[in-house]
Amino acid sequence: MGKTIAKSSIFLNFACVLISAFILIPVVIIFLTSLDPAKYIRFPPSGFSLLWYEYFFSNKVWQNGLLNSVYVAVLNTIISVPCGILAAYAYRKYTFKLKNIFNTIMIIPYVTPSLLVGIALLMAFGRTILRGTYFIVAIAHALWSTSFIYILMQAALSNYDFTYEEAAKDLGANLFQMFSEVTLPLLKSAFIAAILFAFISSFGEVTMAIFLVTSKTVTLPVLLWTSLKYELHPVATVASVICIIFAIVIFMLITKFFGTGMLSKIGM
Amino acid sequence: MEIAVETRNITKRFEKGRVVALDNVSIYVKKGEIFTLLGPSGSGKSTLLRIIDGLEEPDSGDVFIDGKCVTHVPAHKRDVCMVFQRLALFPHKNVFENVAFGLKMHKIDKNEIKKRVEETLWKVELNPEIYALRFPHQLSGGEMQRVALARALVLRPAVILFDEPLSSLDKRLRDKMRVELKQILKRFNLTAIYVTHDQEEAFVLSDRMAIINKGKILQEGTPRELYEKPQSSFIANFLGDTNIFKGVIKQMKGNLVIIELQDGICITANYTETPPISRDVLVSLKAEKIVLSDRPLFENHLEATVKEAIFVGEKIIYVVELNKELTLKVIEKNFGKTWRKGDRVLVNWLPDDIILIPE
Amino acid sequence: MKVNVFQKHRYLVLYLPALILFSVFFLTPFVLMIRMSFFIGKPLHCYIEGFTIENYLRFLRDFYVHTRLMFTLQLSAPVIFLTLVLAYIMAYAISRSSGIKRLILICVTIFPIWINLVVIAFSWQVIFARYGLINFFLTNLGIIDEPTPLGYNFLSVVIGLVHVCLPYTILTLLSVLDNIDPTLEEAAKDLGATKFKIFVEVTLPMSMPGIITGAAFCFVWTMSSFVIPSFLGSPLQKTIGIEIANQVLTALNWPYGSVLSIVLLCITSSTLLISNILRERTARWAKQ
Repeated sequence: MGKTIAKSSIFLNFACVLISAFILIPVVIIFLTSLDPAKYIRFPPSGFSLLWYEYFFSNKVWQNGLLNSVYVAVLNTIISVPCGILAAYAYRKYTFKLKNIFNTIMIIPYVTPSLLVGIALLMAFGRTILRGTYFIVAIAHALWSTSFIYILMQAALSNYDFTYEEAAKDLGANLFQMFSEVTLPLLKSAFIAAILFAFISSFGEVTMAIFLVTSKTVTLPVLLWTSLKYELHPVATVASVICIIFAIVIFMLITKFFGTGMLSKIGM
Repeated sequence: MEIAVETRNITKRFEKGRVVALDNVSIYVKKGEIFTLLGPSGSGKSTLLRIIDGLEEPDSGDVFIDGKCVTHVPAHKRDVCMVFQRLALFPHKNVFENVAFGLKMHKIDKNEIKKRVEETLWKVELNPEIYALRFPHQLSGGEMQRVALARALVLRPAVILFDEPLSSLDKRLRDKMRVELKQILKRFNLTAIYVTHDQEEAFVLSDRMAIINKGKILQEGTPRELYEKPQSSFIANFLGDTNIFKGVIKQMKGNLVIIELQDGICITANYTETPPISRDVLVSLKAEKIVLSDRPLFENHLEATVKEAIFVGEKIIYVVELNKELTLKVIEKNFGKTWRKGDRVLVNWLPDDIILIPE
Repeated sequence: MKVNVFQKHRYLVLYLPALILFSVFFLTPFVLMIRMSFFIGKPLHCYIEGFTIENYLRFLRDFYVHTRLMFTLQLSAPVIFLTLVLAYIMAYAISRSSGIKRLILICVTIFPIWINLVVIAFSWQVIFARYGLINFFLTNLGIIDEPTPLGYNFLSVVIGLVHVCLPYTILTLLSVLDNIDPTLEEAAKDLGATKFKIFVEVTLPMSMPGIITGAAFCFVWTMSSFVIPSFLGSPLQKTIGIEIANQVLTALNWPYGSVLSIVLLCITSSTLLISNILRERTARWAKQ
């Protein structure tokens, strides 16, 4: 690409390093303090130990939180990935009159504050049997994820040539054969990325979950929230590190399957 | 004469009926024939092809393949195969898997598949030992064309459809491939419908062709018929370099008509079929049928001045002026006497070459 | 023969799962929320069915809520400004770099998106704490003698919110900056414009759509922020979001909570609507 003009100046590079530091330092700090055996959080760390990690993994409550988060994230993935992908696929493949309206509807949950969605769901289902179930938490997350995956897949599908599917049909493939022989292999990495995105965005979600979980279904971020509300206990750093590690792993998988090109499509 | 494909009164609208893509289109294609649909982009030719293939359904009208009505049969159950414009070779499958795809979908025995794929690859002059395991991105443009053709051939369809598959190649390769394509189709006596916007391609390939514009079939026949006897000014204009004039019939004697073009400039024409009905006619004269000379050669000759002489290699294009408003385009071989800008010349042609277009 | 609507409009089948999900679990709850706002609110009882406009009247005279709303608006100004400045610099740098540098910068940008808000808030707490990172440096450099807690004030809330808004805003600006035809800047240079002039006359106006969208989203996130300010702020920094959560979770007055939610929803959605119109307008000539 002909980006010859305005080679990044020293100022720009310097500013870049500072901003990157601003973005990353909190994460680094949390990681360092999680290895500090002291009872009170302080910097610099007074030593090095895995004490709080042992504490975390031997504690039933935290263990449960972690498991619940995984359950919710998996359930969310199962719900939101098909919804988002199918809609994005329809958006790219067909032209129809109400396209713009459908498109707007699909994006609304993405731009509605989670706080309000959480409250609305609590009020609507707080007195039904769905109250505090994994299902309702996953559904809350799925509203956001579906929108998000829809936006991402639209971008991914913009490079996809639907003629391959027509060719398959033309050569005698039925709908199922077409999907398994052509669509799936060609869009495999996009689908994997969608799954990973759905999982991680649900795993770390806290604003809606605060309103919807009960002590039985409490997820890791909410547990972190409640425990930090009362005291700055060092085990919270471990929980945070675990959240971060999940994010890093998924992040690396996404870049491996997908490259960063797709990642930069997250902006509006 | 057996009919392989026929469409009857096909009509198709897009965007909720606002755009008419096809308007009451009826064509037929005989067995073993190469039939070309020639038309400018947006004329509806690809839509007709997709309707025959089953990728789109017509709003009204019917499609017959081998005498059976297949209007509502989905694409994957029709006995037709398409070679797509962008070829659509599956990028994740190698040549063998690409060609075998259709057979696999029809649940044909593995050994049989292998046999037929190899046989077909030989037919399109690709050695299976060399090419079978290559992926599309490792092939040249010409090789990809052959694979795409093989992928359609292997299913032995009643008819093969081509949607401008050669348009992505450069000119030299395109010229070579179209001759080869015709040879392959003829050698195995295959039926084909070929869609293109390139008249040269249509002329090289077709046994019979139809010209389509704005969703309507304007005329069909052999390439020669269409070229020599266009029935509308659109076709006269579309095929070859044509001079078209408005004129008024002055006199008719026997087979000859005398037509006044303008201010006393008169020309003589022959008509062979039905005589023109009205006095106002359109006259068409192909640029290559005109001869420039300094002495009269034929009965039809007019004085003119050379306005432009454009050298294009094997031929020279002249623009000559009869008077202020009448100019002619003339194409002559780059042979013998050539003319320069400003030369006074005579333009000559045979009365047979003047075509009266019913308007 | 009756034509099956789904056969005629295949796209409907594909949109259907999402539409069902949204109408049952998104649209319906918000409609119910409107109904809830007319129920009789009784603290600690969630709600009593009935019909009253008392909740809306209460909102009109509730001075405390007004101050929280005003505070949140005040909070959004520095958040939007700081986020846009930082995001623009970063996005500009990314759009001007290629290869491994671009990759690293994008990774740095995106990575915090999946770290949950509590962790981000918590890590800033650790940094601001009495025995945290900043105090460590300040005391060791001899700037101050005794470590003092730095968190729980206006500034810490702003910093936390900027940190949360930054990744999305960078990406929004990046997509706009990446689409600016580099030949435009070359043309400007060719015509004798200085680097600064090129930026002011070409790059900045062309990136207006991204700036508008970025600002609108920062505003919406700040207005509805709840986790970050409740961790990093003192009671003085209570946002309207915290007050809404308080009405719903602690005061257990759902009808009043609904009214406040609806007010907030109106503010955020009208902001997005206006920003969208503005963006379309600027994008129209930006495309020229």
